[in-house]
Amino acid sequence: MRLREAWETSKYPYVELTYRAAQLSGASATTATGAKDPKAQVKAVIKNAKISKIVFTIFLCIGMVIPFAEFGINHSPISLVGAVTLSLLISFAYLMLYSLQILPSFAGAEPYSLLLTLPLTTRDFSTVTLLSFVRTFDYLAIGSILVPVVTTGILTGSAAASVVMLGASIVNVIFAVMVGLWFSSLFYRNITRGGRSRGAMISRTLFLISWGFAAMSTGFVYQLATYTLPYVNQLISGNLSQAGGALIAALHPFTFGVAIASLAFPKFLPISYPISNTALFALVSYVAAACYVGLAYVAVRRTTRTISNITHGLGPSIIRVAAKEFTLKLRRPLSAYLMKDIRIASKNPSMAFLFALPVFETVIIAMSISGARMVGILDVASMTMMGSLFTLLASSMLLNTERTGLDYTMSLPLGPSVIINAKSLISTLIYLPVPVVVLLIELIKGGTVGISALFPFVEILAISAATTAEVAVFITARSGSTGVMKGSKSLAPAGFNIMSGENLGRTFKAIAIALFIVAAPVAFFFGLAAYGEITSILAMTLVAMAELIIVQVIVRLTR
Amino acid sequence: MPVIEASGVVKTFGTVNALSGLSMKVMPGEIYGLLGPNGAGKSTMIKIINGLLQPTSGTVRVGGYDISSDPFEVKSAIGYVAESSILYDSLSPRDFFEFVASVRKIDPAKANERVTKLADAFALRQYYDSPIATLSMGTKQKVAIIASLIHEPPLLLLDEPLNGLDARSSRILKDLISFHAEKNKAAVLFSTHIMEVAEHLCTRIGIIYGGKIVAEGSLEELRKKASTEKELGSKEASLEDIFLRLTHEEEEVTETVKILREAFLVGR
Repeated sequence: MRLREAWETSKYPYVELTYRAAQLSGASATTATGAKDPKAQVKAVIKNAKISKIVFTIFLCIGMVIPFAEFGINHSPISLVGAVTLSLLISFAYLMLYSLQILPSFAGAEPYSLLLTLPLTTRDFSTVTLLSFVRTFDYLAIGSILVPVVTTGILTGSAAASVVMLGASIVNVIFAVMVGLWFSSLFYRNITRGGRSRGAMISRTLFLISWGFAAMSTGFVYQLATYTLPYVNQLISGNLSQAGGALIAALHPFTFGVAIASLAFPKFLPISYPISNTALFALVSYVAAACYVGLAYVAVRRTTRTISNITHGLGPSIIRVAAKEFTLKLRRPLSAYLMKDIRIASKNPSMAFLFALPVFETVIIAMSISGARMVGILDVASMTMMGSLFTLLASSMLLNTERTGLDYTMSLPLGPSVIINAKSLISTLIYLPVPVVVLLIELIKGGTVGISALFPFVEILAISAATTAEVAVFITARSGSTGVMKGSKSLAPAGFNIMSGENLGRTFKAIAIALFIVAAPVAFFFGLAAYGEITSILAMTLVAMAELIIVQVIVRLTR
Repeated sequence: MPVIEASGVVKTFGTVNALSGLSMKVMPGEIYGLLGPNGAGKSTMIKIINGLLQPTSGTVRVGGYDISSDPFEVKSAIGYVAESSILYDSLSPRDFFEFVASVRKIDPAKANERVTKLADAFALRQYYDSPIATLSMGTKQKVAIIASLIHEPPLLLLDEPLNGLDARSSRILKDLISFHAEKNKAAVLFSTHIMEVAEHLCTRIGIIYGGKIVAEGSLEELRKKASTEKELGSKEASLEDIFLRLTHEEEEVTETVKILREAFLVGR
């Protein structure tokens, strides 16, 4: 099979891989009753995946260029070292996180099972599967290789530096893909593992939460570029001992930073005796860079072998744990629904993302508070509102994760109130770390807030009311809208796909109402601020409690 | 009183009429086989009875309750097995049964006893704590079947329940269905493509075609109806022959087979 033919053929398993990754992440919420046109939905999923890849690439390229801003201004060797180092780190992070989204479905090898039944030689099969793997990263790999090379070339004017940057970028991509593939296999093994042992559940949950935080770091890397670059430069230009400096020069990605800076600034590398520290660091970096290139070659061979093993069905195997007994532990319907959602969350990467989201966004806001300033009530309110906003988004996305199981749930004697309250409880759980994090930030940075420190804790009541209302508005059909059972409030049979055409209006309406409920107590707090902190916080509490009571009464009436 | 009573059920999807005024009754203790070609409306009707879809017009009553106004009562009485897996892939069978049994508020002792016996009968021990996503189609079907029987429902809605089942499990399920209908006076609405199964298992058969029931009755009654349409001679018609006769597809099938035979001979 010619390479061009293999490239064309690789499109099919690649599309299957993309679709399965979307299903795994909950992006494709197909239900038997919700999907009006499955063919159109498949096309939409593939198109969205392509857009996601392009957007990811754009963010990656921008992320890789930002660290060069300081070098562009002061043009010093030290800032070039920092820029290259950080640029490579950002590229590594993005590539690895992207691979975590796509590759778990690759690790299952299902997209390739049909190819195995076709009359392809082993070599052709391996070529096609390898190329389909390359397709998952093509835009990102090209971006992460070309962008820093062009940037280095333009800013340094050094051909040698650009060539080394090219090598560094390629090595970096290889390492990122290899690590991403390893993590994905680990993740796949984790989610397919059976067993009810506490250890298995805890390790699965911890793994998923870590994954969630790692996934959130894609947004965090921009903060990293501006926040940590001064520390990186300080580290490099500080009074390092010869051993310390040599160690840093030997560590990827500092290695390439030092090597490129030494080539862009030859005077940085004076050949003299006794050899200067900077010259020593540069020499160490050249040797280390050569070693990393060798390591990358080994990594390519290993990765190719791993890909071949996976696609031949020799990848991570499903571990079955035979049951010793069949005992069921029954609960009340609400608790059972809650437990069902928590169990699904413990094995679902998109749910891990949801759990990490509000806390992460709160921390990002906290980072914008300058070091010298103490935390004031406006800072507390900003952090709380950011956490609240993302809790509401998470609440909507929780509905999306029901997927095909929703059809079965709708065949059960379950009133809407059970589903509404279960989703709301989980959303409130997602928000709970936010007030704790805000309090910690106040304690670390020092706050001037007094009793208003209760602000984010009171907001728990508003969040509970808001998420209850949000879910209720979304899932409870009203007379006259699509798919209504006339004369009765029942679960809307258009499915819980919040982004489907017929549900989009309802999604926005639900979020708008929830936002109002969250904002109302805050408005009362600031509106009555002139009457003192205690009055403000009391008013906020009373309003939030009233909202919760009203919403619960309305939900009970829909039973 | 009929367990299922559907009257003039119409269901349209855009310009497509899936059901065109379907009427049927299923009595207690009856195993009613719903037969029809692909796209005839079998699954649509089952989903309407189950409350997963709303009819465009017409009424459906289950145990005297209207599915539109009393969905809770209707769903409490139904055990449902869908044509394709609609289970929660992330859950294990054990998690899934816990969820279903809890929602249905089954007595824990009874639930445990039934699940233990059914899971043993269907050889689920090795898969009981594995995610449903990792199970084969047949094993998923077993999970769905057990979940539908856990509360001993007065009405079983089974949409192609034998899909993917091995011979042993198929036999167990068929015997269970017969026992459940006979001893518990449960009604069973059973949709299948496998004529032999319908022939031997169902007490009454409804042939659905073009969104309507075109013929209904026991096998003997259908045989008589088919033979009045065209003389069969001394040969006793199988359900397949009856089906093709009553849906007017017999000549089309004969013609299609002739064309295929010629196509295979061309290459020689």
